[in-house]
Amino acid sequence: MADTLGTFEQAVLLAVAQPQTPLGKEAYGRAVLKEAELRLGREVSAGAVYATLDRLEAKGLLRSETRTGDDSRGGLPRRHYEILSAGIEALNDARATADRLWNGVPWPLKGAS
Amino acid sequence: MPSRILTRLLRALLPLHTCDSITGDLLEEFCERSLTDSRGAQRWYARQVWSFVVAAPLFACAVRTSLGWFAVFALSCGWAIAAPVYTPGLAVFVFLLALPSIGFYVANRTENFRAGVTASVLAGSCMLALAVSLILYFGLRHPPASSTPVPFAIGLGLAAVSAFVGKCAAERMEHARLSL
Repeated sequence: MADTLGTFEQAVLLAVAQPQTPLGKEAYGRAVLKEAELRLGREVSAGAVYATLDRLEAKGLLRSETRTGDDSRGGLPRRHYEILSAGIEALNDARATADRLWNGVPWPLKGAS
Repeated sequence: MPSRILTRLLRALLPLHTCDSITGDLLEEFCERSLTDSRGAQRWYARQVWSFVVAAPLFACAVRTSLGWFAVFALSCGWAIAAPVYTPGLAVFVFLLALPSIGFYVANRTENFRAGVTASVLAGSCMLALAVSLILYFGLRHPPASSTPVPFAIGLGLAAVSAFVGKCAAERMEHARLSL
């Protein structure tokens, strides 16, 4: 994987790959937004999430499928996301990079040694 | 229900293939939030629509282009007023050049015809407002008020054609790039 995923991209991909809530398991736009907020511990803008989902899909890490929506959303369709093997590989690479970076470094850091 | 104006703005910014699904997602979240705090839900919705405004490629592209042309137009108006003989011809020429340029550039960058036309309309409206303000403020000679829409209509017509050409050019370049 030439490009390492950024933190936000990792949060969005993990929200699709490993959801922590029943809503998250449905893996559509709103569900991914809520999962990303849970993982990052802060409110996240929808514009950023959807832009990231589009970018990840363009990179071939995700795929999406539009399905019919219910009355709670005025019958508007839902776009469901599924992580691909390239996305899993990208997440594993990102984790390995972070582990290599912090290898041997005590956490939390208290100052320069 | 969320603000209709904001929803219209949101739908104007979104690509056609995701417009309905994203609008539905935000509506669903809005409905859930409004059960406990309806004002908070409206504020949340406004924040989300704004996040699409700043995330949209249209925003940066259109603002940069329009501001640039607006500055040139303002300078041409200033020159027309300051010249020994009042000559608004240059300002009209810049106006008629600016609208199709903005339409072409924005449509080409965003691959969206509507975006190009919208940017031209907004920029043209600002330029027209500036021109009318200057005419009224300085008491300048001007054509009859009924003929004011004429250059605007001509400019918009040229902008629509240019936006169409810009979008087609972008699609052709994308085709050529993919076939390499």
